[in-house]
Amino acid sequence: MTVVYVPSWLKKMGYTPTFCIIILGIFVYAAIFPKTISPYSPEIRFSPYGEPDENHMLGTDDMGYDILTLLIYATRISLIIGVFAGILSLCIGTSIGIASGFHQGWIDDLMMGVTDITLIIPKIPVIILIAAYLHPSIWILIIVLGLFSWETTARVVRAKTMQIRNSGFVLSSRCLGFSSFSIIIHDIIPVIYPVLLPKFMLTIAGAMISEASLSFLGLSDPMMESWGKMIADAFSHGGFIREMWWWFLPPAICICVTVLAITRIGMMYESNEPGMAFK
Amino acid sequence: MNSPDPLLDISNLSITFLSDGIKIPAVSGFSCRITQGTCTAIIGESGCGKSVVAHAILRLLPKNSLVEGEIIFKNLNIYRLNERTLQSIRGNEIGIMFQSPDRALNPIYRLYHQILGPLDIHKVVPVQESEAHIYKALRKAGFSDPEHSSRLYPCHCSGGMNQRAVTAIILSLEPDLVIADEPTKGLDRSRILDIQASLKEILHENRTLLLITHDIRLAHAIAHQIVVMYAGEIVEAGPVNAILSSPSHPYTRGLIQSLPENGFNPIPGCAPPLTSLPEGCRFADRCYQATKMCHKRPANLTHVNGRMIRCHRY
Amino acid sequence: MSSVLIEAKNVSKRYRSGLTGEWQHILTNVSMAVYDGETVGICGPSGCGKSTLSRILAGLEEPDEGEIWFRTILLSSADNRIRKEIRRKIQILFQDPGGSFNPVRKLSASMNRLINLPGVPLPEHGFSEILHEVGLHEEILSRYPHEISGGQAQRLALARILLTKPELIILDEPTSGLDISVQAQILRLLKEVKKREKMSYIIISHDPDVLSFMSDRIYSMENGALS
Repeated sequence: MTVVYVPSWLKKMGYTPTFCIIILGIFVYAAIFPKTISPYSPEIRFSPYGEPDENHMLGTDDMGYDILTLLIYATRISLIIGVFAGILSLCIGTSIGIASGFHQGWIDDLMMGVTDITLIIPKIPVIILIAAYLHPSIWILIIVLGLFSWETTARVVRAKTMQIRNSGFVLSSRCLGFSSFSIIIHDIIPVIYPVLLPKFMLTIAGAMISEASLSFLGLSDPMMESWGKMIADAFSHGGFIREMWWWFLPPAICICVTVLAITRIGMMYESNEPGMAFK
Repeated sequence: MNSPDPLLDISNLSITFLSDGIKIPAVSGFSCRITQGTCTAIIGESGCGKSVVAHAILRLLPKNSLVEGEIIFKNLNIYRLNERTLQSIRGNEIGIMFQSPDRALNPIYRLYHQILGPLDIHKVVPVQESEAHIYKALRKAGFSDPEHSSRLYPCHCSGGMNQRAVTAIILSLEPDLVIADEPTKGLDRSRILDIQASLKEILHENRTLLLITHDIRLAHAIAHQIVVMYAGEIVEAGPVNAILSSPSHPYTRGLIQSLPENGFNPIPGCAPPLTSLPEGCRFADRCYQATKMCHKRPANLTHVNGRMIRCHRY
Repeated sequence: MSSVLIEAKNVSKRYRSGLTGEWQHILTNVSMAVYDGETVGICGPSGCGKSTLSRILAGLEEPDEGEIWFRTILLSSADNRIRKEIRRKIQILFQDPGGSFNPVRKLSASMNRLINLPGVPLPEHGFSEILHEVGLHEEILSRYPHEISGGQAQRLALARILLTKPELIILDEPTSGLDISVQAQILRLLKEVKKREKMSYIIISHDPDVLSFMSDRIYSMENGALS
C-alpha cells in the first residue's frame, strides 16, 4: 500500500516499484554475469576513438576498448561500492541510533556528540586528504563513503527508537522480563524497518553519486573501472573535445537510472503506520 | 419528530466496505430524521457503525466503500454534490468535532490563527469583523479573557483549554449542524463535564447536534432523541428519556445494566464479526430472551409506542 | 492476618529535562502497602504521578529516594537474580490495550515470544486454555493488534500476563477508552481471575465507580503525594 506522492505523469511512464525492481535486477544481473551480455571481453582492444557502428554499439575509447563492454563490466564496481558503503553506513548508523535511543542517559549524549562531530566533517576534503596520503583503493573508498553517511540514519533511528521506547508494547516486554537485547531485536527493529529501508536505499544512491564525483576528480582508485571513472576518462582522454557523447553519456545515464530505481524502491514501503484502522 | 423539513434526513443508508474481495456490511438500513435545534445521540459499542454514519454524512468515507441510500442535508443530496460545494458545506454548515478534541489543534500556530484560518476560507464574516467574531466565539466557548488567551499556543494551554478552543473554532463558523464523534472517549470525569458544557453551548441558538458516543450518561444529559445501534443496524430509537428509563430492546436493557450505578452487569459474549453475520437477529446469540425464531429470521424495524424497535417480541 | 505483599516507603522521584532544566517532583514521600489477596485502588487526576508509581513498583524505573520492599526483601539491596525473579512477579496491565502488542507483528508471534523467557512454563497444548479463561477464541492469534477491538486486546494482554504467573498485577486505567458494555465485562473478568488465582491488584483509575467496585482500600493521590 503506497501513499507516495509521485506525479501521475511519471507514474504513467512506469515509475513504479515493480518496474524499478526489474531495472535494478537487470543491472545486478549485469554485475554478476557480465560475460553473458557483453559483446566482447574487456581485454580486447580495437582501433581507438571509434564511432558507434554495427560492431561497436557505443564505439571505442582512447585505448581501443569497446565502450559497451566497459559499461557492462563497470556495473559491478559501481554497484559494489554503493551497496557496501550503504551496508557499512546502515550498520554503524543503526547501532548508534538504537544504543542512543534505547539507553538514553550518558550513552545518548556521547553518541550524539560523536554524530554531531561526524556531521560537521566535510566529506570531500577528507577524501582528498586521504587520497593525498594513501593510495586510494576501492576498499578505502567504500570505508570512507560509509563512514561519512551514517549520521542521518543514526539520528532518524534514534528518534524513532525514543518514540517507541515508551510505548505500551516495549514497556510490556520489559515488564514481562525480556532482556534488552531481545526487546531490540523483536520489538524495536521490526518497527523501525520501514524507516531503515528508504535510508539504506538513499545511502546507496548517495554513495554511487559521491563515487562518481570522486572518480571524476581523479581521487578514486585509478585501477578500477566504474561508471564515474568512465566519465572521468572520457573527459580527460579527449572524449569531450572530440564530442564523443557515446562515451560519457551512457555511464551518466546508467548512474541516473540506477539511482532513480533504487530511490523508488526505497520509497516502496512508505505507507500509513499499522494501527490507523478505520473504526 | 414530524416537523415540516428535517435538517438532516437519512433514508435507508447502507454502507459496505470492500477489502481484499470481502464485503463488510458496516451499516445496514439506517434511517433517521433530525430536526433543527435538537440533539440526537447515536449510541452503541465500538464497531457498531456509528462513526461510519458520521463519516458518511460528510462524505469522508474511504475509497473502497459502497454507499446506498440517501443523505439529504437542507434539501441537498450529499452524494450528488460536487466536491467544491461539499467543501464549502464541511465546516461552514456542518461542523465536526472528533475524538480527543484537544489534540486537533496544530501545535505551531497560536489559537487566534487557528480560528482565523477556517473563518477566512469560508468567508463567514467580512475581514474587518473577524477579530471581534473570534473573540465572541472564544467567550462563548468559556474563555474569560479572549484577547489574552488567543495569543497562546496550544502547548501553553491545558487539555481542557485546548478542547474549548476547538469548540470556539466550531462555533465561529456558525454551522447549522455539528457532528461530535466520540468526543469524550478515554477522558476523565472533569474533562467530560467540560465537553458536556461545550456541547450544551453548541446547542444554543437553535443549532443541531449529532452526538456519537458510547457514554450513555452523556447522551442522557444533553440529547433529545436517541438511536441505539448494534452490528450496523438500528435496534431502538426514540425520545431519550423514554428509552433510557424504560428500554424495550434487550440490547438497550443490557447496556443500561452495564452501567456502574446498576452494578457493572455485562452482556455476555461479544458482537458478531461483520464478515460473518448470523442468519437471524444479530443480537440473538447474546439475548436472554431469544427464541427459535430470533435465530432464524432477522427482525424488522417497527414503530411501537412512539419509538422504533427491531425485535421479534414487538 | 495477611502479610504484606509489597510496600513502598518514602519513595520520591524527580525528573529533569536535559542537564540544565528544572527539577520536577513527580513523587514526594510516597508510602503505601498492599497485603496478600487484596485490591488497592489509587485514584487521582491525570498527571499526578500514578503511572510513575506503578512503574517504580514494577521495577521499570528506580526511585530517587525511598525503599521498595517485596515481602521481606528490600529490592535495592537484593542481588540481581533475586531482583529479576521478583520483578517478574509484579506485572502491569497498561492503558491503551492495543498498544501492548507490537503493531507490526501478528499476535501469535507476540505470544510465542514468551518461549524465550526463562522460567515461564508454556502450556503444552498451546494457548487455547488460557485464551478460554479470558474469554477469547484461538483464531484471534492470527490477527494484527489493530484488527482487534480494545476489549479483546485487553483480555489478551491479561492472558499474556497470567502466563508468567505473577503475584501482583498493577492495573493502570484498565478500562479507560473502552465502551461501557466492554468495561463491565473486563471488570468482571478481573474479579474472576482474582478469585481463581488468588491475585492481588493495584488498580489505578480516575473513575470513582470503577475503584469502588473493585477495591478493598483506596489511596488518593494528588501532585505526587499519597493519602
